[in-house]
Amino acid sequence: MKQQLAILLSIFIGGVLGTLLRYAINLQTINLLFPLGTILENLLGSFLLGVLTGWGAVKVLPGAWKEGIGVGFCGGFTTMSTLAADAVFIGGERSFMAAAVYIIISLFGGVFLALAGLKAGEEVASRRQKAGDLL
Amino acid sequence: MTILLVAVGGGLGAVSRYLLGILIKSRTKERRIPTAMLIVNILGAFGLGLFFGWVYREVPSMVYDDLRYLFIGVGFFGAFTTFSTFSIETSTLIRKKKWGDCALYVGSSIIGSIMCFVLAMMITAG
Repeated sequence: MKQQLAILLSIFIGGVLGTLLRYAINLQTINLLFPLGTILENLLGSFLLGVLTGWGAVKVLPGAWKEGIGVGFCGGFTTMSTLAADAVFIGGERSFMAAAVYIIISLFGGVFLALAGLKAGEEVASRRQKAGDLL
Repeated sequence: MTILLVAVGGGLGAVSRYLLGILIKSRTKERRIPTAMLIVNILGAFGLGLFFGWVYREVPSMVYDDLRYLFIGVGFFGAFTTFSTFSIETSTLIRKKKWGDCALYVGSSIIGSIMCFVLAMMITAG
């Protein structure tokens, strides 16, 4: 029970921080013609969750931290609902082509960076393990 | 006030995603594609569409001074849905070379989210 509450609290805090960072980046990019902010957030968040997942695959983080950073921060920082809204907005205001470009950059960029992050996280974790480091 | 609304909306969105994800996982069998986040993302896009259609009757832009938009749109639904987990789950399917499942997961997530968003807007915007 206590552990479950700690996880919920840590997800809440992570979600707050991830959302605030997303909001801050959105404010900086609001005047651009293309929603670069959302692209940047989704790509960076995918990389970070990749590193965390790759690292955690070998070394397990303490429960509440893992959920707080992964589910809370990365989850709150990235977004699918805004992506859907952006795509529809671009499709209506500009062209179907522009909306397709937006989706393709998000999709391929996000998956590529997630794969790179997984690899990087696994590298670091296995090197540390070989060195006999406890962390 | 502005920042507080974004923050609380985001925190609630993330916790709701986690709890709903657990609920879906406990009720569904192991599938070829990760259904929990697929359902959460589609549901979140649908919810954002309902909100946009109802309040703005269009996809709003430049409404960063509207507190409802900040709390519900940027905060809650922004954090309720996720792209990072989607990327990781897609990567996992790629690593397992499950190309068919991968295409199904990517297609249903992206097209499903967009279509449900549009459908929801049509329902509320009339």
